Amino acid sequence: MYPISIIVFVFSFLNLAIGQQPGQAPVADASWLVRYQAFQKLQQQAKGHYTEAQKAQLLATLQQESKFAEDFGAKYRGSKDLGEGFGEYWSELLGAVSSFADLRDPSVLRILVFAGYDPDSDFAKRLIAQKENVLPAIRELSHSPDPFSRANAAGLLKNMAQDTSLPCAATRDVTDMLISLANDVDGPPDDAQEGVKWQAVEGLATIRSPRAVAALQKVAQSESKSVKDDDGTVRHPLSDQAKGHLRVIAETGGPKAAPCDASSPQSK
Amino acid sequence: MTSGSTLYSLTNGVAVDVGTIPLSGLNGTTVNKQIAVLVGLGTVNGSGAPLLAVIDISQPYVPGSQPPYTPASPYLPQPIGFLPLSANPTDVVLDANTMQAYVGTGSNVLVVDLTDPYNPVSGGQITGSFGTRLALDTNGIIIAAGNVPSATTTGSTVQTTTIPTTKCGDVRDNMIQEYQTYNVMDTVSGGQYVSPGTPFVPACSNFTQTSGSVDFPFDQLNTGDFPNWAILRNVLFAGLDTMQQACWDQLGPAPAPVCNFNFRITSGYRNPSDNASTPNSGQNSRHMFGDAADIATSGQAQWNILRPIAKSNAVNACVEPYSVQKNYAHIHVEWPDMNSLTDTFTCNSNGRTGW
Repeated sequence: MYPISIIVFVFSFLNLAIGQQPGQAPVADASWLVRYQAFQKLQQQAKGHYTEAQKAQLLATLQQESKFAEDFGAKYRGSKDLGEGFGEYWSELLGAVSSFADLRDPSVLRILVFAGYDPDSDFAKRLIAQKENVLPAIRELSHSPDPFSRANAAGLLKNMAQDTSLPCAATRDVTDMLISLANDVDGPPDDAQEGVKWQAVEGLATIRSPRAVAALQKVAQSESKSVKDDDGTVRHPLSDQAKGHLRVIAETGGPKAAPCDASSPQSK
Repeated sequence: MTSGSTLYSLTNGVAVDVGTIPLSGLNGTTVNKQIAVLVGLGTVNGSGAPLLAVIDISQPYVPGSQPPYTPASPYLPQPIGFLPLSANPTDVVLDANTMQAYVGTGSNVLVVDLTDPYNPVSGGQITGSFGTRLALDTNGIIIAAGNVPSATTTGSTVQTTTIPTTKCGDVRDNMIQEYQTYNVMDTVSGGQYVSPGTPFVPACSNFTQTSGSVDFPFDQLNTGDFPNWAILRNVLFAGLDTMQQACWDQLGPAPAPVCNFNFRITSGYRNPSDNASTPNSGQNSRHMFGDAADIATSGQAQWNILRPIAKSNAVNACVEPYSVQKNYAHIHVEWPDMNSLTDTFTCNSNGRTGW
């Protein structure tokens, strides 16, 4: 519209308005939203190729965020929602770390076990593929003050129980931890604790060894938390679930023979 | 100038136009301000690129002004928005009435939407053989000049076209504007709308006033601020229908769960402003893409019954884990990457690591 001579003046300030390239952003701040923004900057700079320093920074950040989430779960026990926004950040951060993480390193494996929030995911399958090497971290997770983390531990153990190539000692450990979690008393008997037991019941039903079945019978006979249906019917979902599994086990051949079914002396 | 994490520099100007458009101030007020729209060549994060820049020139420029601007010093025009162009520009005209700029390239005319002048976005292009110089008459006719060869003549010096209508003409324009204002990014889609990692600016045709199902009608799925319009994908209500039926039929892994309740949707479609005001929402939540819903659950038992149903082959939803929410008050399901229910289920490979 206007000849170039008229617009020359505008460019005199445009060049002066140019900023600096963003520097290395610190991924340590009080608010997770600020940390998320710093992580996004780091992602844009790295473009999927992380330096060793960035890898260490991301691992430390993931550990920090897992602890943040764990503390939140322990404090509120389901009365508050951590939220989709944090989940968005968490999933992206976990995705970044899992792209370079060396699962053979026990310290890295521990961070990922605590960060893996879905025991049924493909990511969790990679964790439990480490077999007995992952058990120390899962044992630690099973003692977390956060009931949601303990439920995750039970979920991981449930999926490990399907691995018939585990050594006997590891199989015993898996069963012992699930029995312990099915009787979870670490905290008040609320819905969050019922969630731990629910996952443990699913794991024990997967194992279906004589000891696992005995543990299921104990849960079935317990007075689990009640719920009222829309039609007013009062049910006890956890003990009902255990009874349901026992019924299926009875109808499909009973408990499985389990040569590794003795209690482990070093369990707990 | 940096915008987000992108660094823009316009170094070689080609053309400029000026006009007055409404600009939103930081205190929420809107005032009419004079802007300049410049086109030329520059860099984006150090790489050469053709660019359009929007400049706030609401006060007279005083020669010799130097940044930074301080009160009582000569006013310095402020660059407020940039947009990389798809072709080298030759001219630009600003239409303050439609809040659009038209950029000549010597062939097609690029359309730039300046509804949010801080975030100019592409409004498509007028395809044709237009000359390098542009003008706009009072009737909204774009006049291009330049010696452009044509099939019927040896050279046409003037070409004309009408201004394209890119607006919906109703509240959808406000809704589309929100997607630009909140810079909604598609982080997980398999290409239903745009490529993953790019901004999502819906078209008028992405919105519906009627879509839904018998069990989940439009009014139940649209929980946004605009009661008559929403983005709702077929996979959402088809998936919810399948989930609800599976629940009523007591389907699921043995032992068959007691799942005899009617789903209550606590959140379906959210426009970006509604999403931003929802506590703890994701900045790129799939609720804004019309493929996510929250179903209320009475506690962990219902949650644990619904989850395997949602993840079953018949439904194939991505389910937000309880350990992300850290409660069992609702189950968040979404279908971000499937064009139909028979597609491969790939939550993990599309960015939702661990789901």
